[in-house]
Formats: sequence, C-alpha cells, structure tokens
Amino acid sequence: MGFERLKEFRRVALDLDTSGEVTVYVYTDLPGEDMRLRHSETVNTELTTTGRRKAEVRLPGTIKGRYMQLKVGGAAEVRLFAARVLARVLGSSDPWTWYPVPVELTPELFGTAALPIEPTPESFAEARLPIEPTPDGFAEARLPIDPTPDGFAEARLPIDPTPDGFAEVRLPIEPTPEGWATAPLPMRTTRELRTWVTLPVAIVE
Amino acid sequence: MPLERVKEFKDTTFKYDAPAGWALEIKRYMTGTGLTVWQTINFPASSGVRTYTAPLDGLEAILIKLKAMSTGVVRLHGGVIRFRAIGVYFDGANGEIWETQELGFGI
Repeated sequence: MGFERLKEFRRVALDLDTSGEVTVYVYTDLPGEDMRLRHSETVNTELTTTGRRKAEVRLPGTIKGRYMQLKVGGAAEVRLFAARVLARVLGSSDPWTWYPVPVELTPELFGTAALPIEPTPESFAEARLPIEPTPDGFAEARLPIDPTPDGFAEARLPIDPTPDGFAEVRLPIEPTPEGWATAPLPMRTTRELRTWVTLPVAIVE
Repeated sequence: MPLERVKEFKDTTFKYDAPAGWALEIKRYMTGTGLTVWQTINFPASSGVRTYTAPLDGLEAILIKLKAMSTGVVRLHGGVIRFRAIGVYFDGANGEIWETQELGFGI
C-alpha cells in the first residue's frame, strides 16, 4: 500500500444496537499531520428501537485527511454490526463513495454447536458379567488324606523306664515301742467291806 | 487462547427421555457480571425419547454453562445450541470502547 491520498469525509454510517447513549468520535490526521479529534456526536438507538438500526453521523465539510480513525464509547452496551464512511479524493472528479470500515462479521445465520452429551449408540453393546466360566475338562482336587510314608516311624510306648538303682519303700509295720504300756483287764473290782444282803426266802409247809 | 467473542444464542434442542420432566439451568459469563444464572427452562415430561426446542430469548454471553436437573430419571441422548458471534460487542459501563486503526480506505 502506497501513500494515501488526501480525502474529504462527509458521513459515517453505523449499523448498531445500543442500550443507551454512546458517542462516535472521528479523528483525522489533517490539518497538522496529527491524529486529532475532529468531530463527535452521540448516538442512541434506544430512542427509536429496542434493537438494531442504522445511525448516520453527518460530518462538517471541513473534515479531511489521509487517514481517519473511528471510536465509539460511552456508558452503554454496544453491538456493532457494520460501519462505513462516505468519502472522496480531494480535488478530483471522483464521486462520493462509501468505504467499508473493517468490523468483525456477524453471521446472518445461527450456527449449531453440539453440546457435550455422550451419544446413545443405536445398538446394544456386550458386557461380560463376572461369572466364572465352566471349564471343559475336570480338575483334580486332593482329598484330605495323609499319604502313607515309605518307612516305619518310631512311636514310644507308655512304659516307665526301669531305674538303674533300687528305691526304698517303707513297709506298713508299726514300730515296737521302747517301754511297756499298761492295759486294764476287763474285771470288776472287789469291794473292801462286806454287806448283808436280805434274801427273800419262802416257807414251805 | 484468544478472548472469546460475545455470542447471541437463539435456541437449544435436546433429544431426551424423562418421565418426570427436567429443567435446564443456563448460566452466562459476561465481563463485568461474571458467571450468573440467566434462565431456567423446564422441559416437559416424556413417555419415550422425544425432541424439544426451547428458545433462548436475548441470551448473549461470552461463555455459557448448562446444568440439567430433575426429580426423576433423565436420559439425555443429544443436544445442540444455536448461536452466532456478534461482530463487535462492548459494554461501556465496564470502560470498554471500540476503536479502529487509522483507515486510508486504499485511496
């Protein structure tokens, strides 16, 4: 791109939707070779519509420059769909022409976005249940029988061992006492004094 | 990742099976307000798989977050949402502006 030619600007058209009043600022580099604010104007689409509309800013006839800069600001929400500028080359017989201002495109159609939901398959899937498979052949299981050993084992019989020496055993014989013991005889004692005893005698005639 | 643009959402369609019905809570993220609940949509009960489209009036968001809720069983088989990116969206209340480069228009 070479050096830009000198142009004069007449209008700025905006396709927008605002929630309140906003200001459109127009900057150019002339006079003075310095980008300065040359014109500003408020726009409020809420005054005529609740949605989107075209707003046109008429510029004073003195606005010219090689470059133009636009700014939109304010305390409202702005949805800007398009912008263009009516301009022509100064000192030429070229007609007034609308020049588009680069604004990110708003698609006319809505696009579709798939939500992150796992798709449900058309057919059923197989899932193995936790059941042990039945083997084709039989398996061996060891019964709880102790194996018979090859040799004989020793087992101790419950017989007490014979001691090497003799042990003493006390016999049940009462020991003979050293002295004599006294034993009373079973006899009645004789009384010392005689006594008379009356005998019952009967007379026989 | 570049900053996401503000999108305008038109409607959302779900293919589902929900004998007790269900609700879709939509949260939106915008600069200045953060993530807030925008709308809760009730989807009607169904006796089998059905498709239902709900409008999303005026929903604009940089990001959205969806939550499905129900008092019963819900089987979600699929869902789409329709949207388009707005060319330029800014909120002056956040100090945001729109500004071009110096334009020479090629002449």
